[in-house]
Amino acid sequence: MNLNLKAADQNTYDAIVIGTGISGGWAAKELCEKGLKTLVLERGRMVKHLEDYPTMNLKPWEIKYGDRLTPREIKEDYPVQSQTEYAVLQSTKHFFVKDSEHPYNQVKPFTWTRGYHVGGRSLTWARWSFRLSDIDLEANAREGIGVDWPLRYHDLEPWYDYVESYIGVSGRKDGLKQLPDGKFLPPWEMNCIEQHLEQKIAENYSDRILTLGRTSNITQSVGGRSKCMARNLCRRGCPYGAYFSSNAVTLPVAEATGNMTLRPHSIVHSIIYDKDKKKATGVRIVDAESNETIEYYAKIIFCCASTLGTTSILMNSVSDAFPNGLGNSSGELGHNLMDHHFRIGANGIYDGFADQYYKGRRPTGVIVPRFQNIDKKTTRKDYLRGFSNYGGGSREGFWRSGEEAAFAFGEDFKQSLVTPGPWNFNFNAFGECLPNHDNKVYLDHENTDKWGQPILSIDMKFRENELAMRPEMMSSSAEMLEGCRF
Amino acid sequence: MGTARMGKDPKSSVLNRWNQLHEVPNVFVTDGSCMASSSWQNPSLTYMALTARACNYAVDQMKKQNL
Ligand SMILES: Cc1cc2nc3c(=O)[nH]c(=O)nc-3n(C[C@H](O)[C@H](O)[C@H](O)COP(=O)(O)OP(=O)(O)OC[C@H]3O[C@@H](n4cnc5c(N)ncnc54)[C@H](O)[C@@H]3O)c2cc1C
Ligand code: SF4
Repeated sequence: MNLNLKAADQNTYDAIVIGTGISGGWAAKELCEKGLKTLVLERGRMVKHLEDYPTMNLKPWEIKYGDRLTPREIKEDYPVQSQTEYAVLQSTKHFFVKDSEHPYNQVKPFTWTRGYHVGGRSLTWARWSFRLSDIDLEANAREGIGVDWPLRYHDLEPWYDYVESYIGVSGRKDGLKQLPDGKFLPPWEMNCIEQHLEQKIAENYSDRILTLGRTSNITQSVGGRSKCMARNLCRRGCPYGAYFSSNAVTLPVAEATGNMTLRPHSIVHSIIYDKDKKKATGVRIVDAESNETIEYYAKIIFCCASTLGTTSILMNSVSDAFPNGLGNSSGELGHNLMDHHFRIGANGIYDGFADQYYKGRRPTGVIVPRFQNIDKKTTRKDYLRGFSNYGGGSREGFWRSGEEAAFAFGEDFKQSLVTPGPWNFNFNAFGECLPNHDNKVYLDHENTDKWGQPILSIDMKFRENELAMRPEMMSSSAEMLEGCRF
Repeated sequence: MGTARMGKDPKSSVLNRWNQLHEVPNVFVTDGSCMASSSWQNPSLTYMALTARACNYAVDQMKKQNL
């Protein structure tokens, strides 16, 4: 009895945070700074800033297979992750899960891109950082879709200010009501083809603009981190800590308070509920290395294991009080899954500016922010909400700017350094997805992973409204380029 | 996004306006599962803002002995 009490005492904290990705890193920092003894649980391995970025300084010729995954790797270990082909490379694959180790059921095709390690996907995200507006937060109520957001822009604004100032977001103030301006560092620069397109769009359209991406690659030093050197190799980990990741920004601050206990290899299985106290008392984990089950206790619990990670944990937390998952009397847990829809746009080659180049590799692109269904004038008959056209201009064969930098290799690679091709511009539109109760996930208890955890079934598809938006996602991209003589 | 959505009514949503489970107030969810709609915007900055806001609220409530 005494021993048990002592063990419970040793495993008791003020707060528990589940996950160390973008949200978990922030929860760890905030709670530790406010003086709470905080246990931070991460299912994957440790990744220390700098120390654990093995590829960050490799030269292109030091990386095998032109940095691409081999057909065998794709087939055996990364059939899903490799679908994000611009991000999952020889130099970054250690920051993505092996699908072979982490199975799930695709009731309908669904690309679930994951990174299970300290830092989660904060290491590999594309760093675009945009605020929501009241046009977004009021839309459900206005249109009778799903449920109304229980907050509005004025509730979020001071917190956007706070996090932007802390992480550093570069961007241009555009004064758009659909995309509120923030506390920005100076924007990146447009190259000549983008400036040309910006000007032509301003001449040809009154409903839209082309502007710079808003990105967490810092253009000035912030909080002791030095500014970005425009290498656009961010997904390998940044030697300067010049983009936001949990590893470079939030976790070191949490650590420095002395209040954080970070425990990698800790797969949270469920949350423990006490029906007399009507509270959660702690969590149950499986140690990924020893397979041991351990309980930890705390007064508050922050779930930051990513959308589907957290949802799996809550669904797995069953008790007499909550037979269908913790806090799920509504029956909505696991439903209304949304994802952006993209991979549609246009590409154009421009005849001109043959004598102009650019220096470095800007780690972001340009964007035409949503220009549909903003007001009466821009109302569309066929669909609700809207999309934005993301893009970037580059010289073929020359270092590509924008997000999807690709390397040529071998002889092509050498040639491309001396003979840049024509300028081209690429648009990729990114659209909103409506919540729908029938887009859902559930646990498959028949099939378990190697730690005995039920695997997730994902049953989601894009529906009428998303499909109705896609023709204009493509035609608007093509039209804007044609209007500029591409 | 969206699989533990925020909302005003516990009958149709999982989380309240402070990202707390309606039915279990000492559990907070601040990742993408809280989203009531997706918008076109990349969402992570919003997760950061909601997380910082919920942490501030949680610690405040602990001080007031409400949690
Ligand atoms: C290629 C790519 C590009 C992207 N670009 C952008 C962008 O430009 N802008 C943007 O806003 N977003 C972008 N995103 C999305 C962004 O990465 C996510 O929105 C963000 O990382 C979500 O943060 P999170 O903390 O909820 O989850 P994650 O960052 O995924 O972190 C979740 C963490 O929880 C851990 N975990 C999961 N389950 C458990 C468990 N049971 N027990 C313990 N730990 C667990 C995981 O290992 C992981 O470390 C991109 C994503 C990808 C893959
Ligand atoms: S582009 Fe900037 S943030 Fe990215 S790795 Fe290079 S220096 Fe770091």
